[in-house]
Amino acid sequence: MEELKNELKQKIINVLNLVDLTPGDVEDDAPLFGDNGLGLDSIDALELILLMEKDYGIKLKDASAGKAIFQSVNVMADYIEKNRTR
Amino acid sequence: MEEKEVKWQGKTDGTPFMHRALIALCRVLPLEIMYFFMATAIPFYLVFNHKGYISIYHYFRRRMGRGPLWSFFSVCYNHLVFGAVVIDKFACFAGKRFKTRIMNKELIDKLLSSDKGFVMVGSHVGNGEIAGFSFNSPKRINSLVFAGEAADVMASRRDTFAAHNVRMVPVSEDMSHMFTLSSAIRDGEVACIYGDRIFSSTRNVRLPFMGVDADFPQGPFALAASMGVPAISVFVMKEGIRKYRIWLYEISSGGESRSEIVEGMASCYAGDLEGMMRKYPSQWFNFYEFWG
Repeated sequence: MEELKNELKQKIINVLNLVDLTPGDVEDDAPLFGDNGLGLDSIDALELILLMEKDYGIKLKDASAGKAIFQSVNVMADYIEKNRTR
Repeated sequence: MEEKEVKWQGKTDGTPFMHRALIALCRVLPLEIMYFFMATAIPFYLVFNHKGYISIYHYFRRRMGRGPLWSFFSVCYNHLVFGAVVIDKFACFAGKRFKTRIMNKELIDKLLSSDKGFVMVGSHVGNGEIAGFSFNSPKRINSLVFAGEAADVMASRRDTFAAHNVRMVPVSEDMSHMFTLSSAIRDGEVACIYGDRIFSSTRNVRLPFMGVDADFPQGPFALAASMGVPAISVFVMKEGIRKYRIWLYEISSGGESRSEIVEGMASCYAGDLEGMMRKYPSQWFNFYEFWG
């Protein structure tokens, strides 16, 4: 699980071009959206949706489930672990 | 990339009672009478909505190069046309329909008959909502709308557009609209987003527009580029009391990287929008200082 979390952090940094951050800077429980965490916006959300689809084979369709999954790296990694097809 | 505060959301003025009364009046009165009543309110808007007045005055004076007096009368005419467009929206809610002529119709026919989804980029010019009634789309059109719009206006929109395969998707702070739009495109549907208003994301592209740089949102273009689907711009312009003309343009872009493609698409859209404003200068309805 720790390996998956680190891999996910690196992918988030790469896909969102967060050049000032390293995986160590992203806390497992920090909210991804909003002012208290990474402060990601709707275009970042789109990139994360596509990342889940391309890299893990997870197609997010349900808006209410989707927003819960993107709460934090912890929640995302847990969801990927249970639902990945790649 | 820079941050920009959202200055004007494009919310419909008036109370729920006024909206309901307007729909009821539109059912029984001809549009000409409705326009006449609306015109009597324009002097009040000119006086009390001073920011809106000044921004449109600057648009005519600085971007269109008109003299002070001509600009003043142009603002009055712009408000008159805007009032007529608002009445037309409520007339649609009341069941009335308008004559539309679609330019470059083969473009939309081709996209609507394909299995692939696409992005339709609208603007705060003319009367974009009329497009929802005009395409007889076999694909569902998912239209991103400002969540702060009056509840009764949203309910009227939902009821009216549901019969035309149009779904309203309100912008949400929890980003759920992005799940809805991306899922819709994946299912071969249409996502309709404004290309001249920065909301939901603060990321924008600064481009030359009508002689001076202005900010345009990345959102609609990033959605098309990321999902690998085509994008078109749609302008629905009023040409008579019951007549609209719909202009469609393909939004194309070269470029290697994703950011180059997004910037190229935004630039293509800005060029189309500028061309449209040269054709219909009075139908510019961004009532804030668009050029900062």
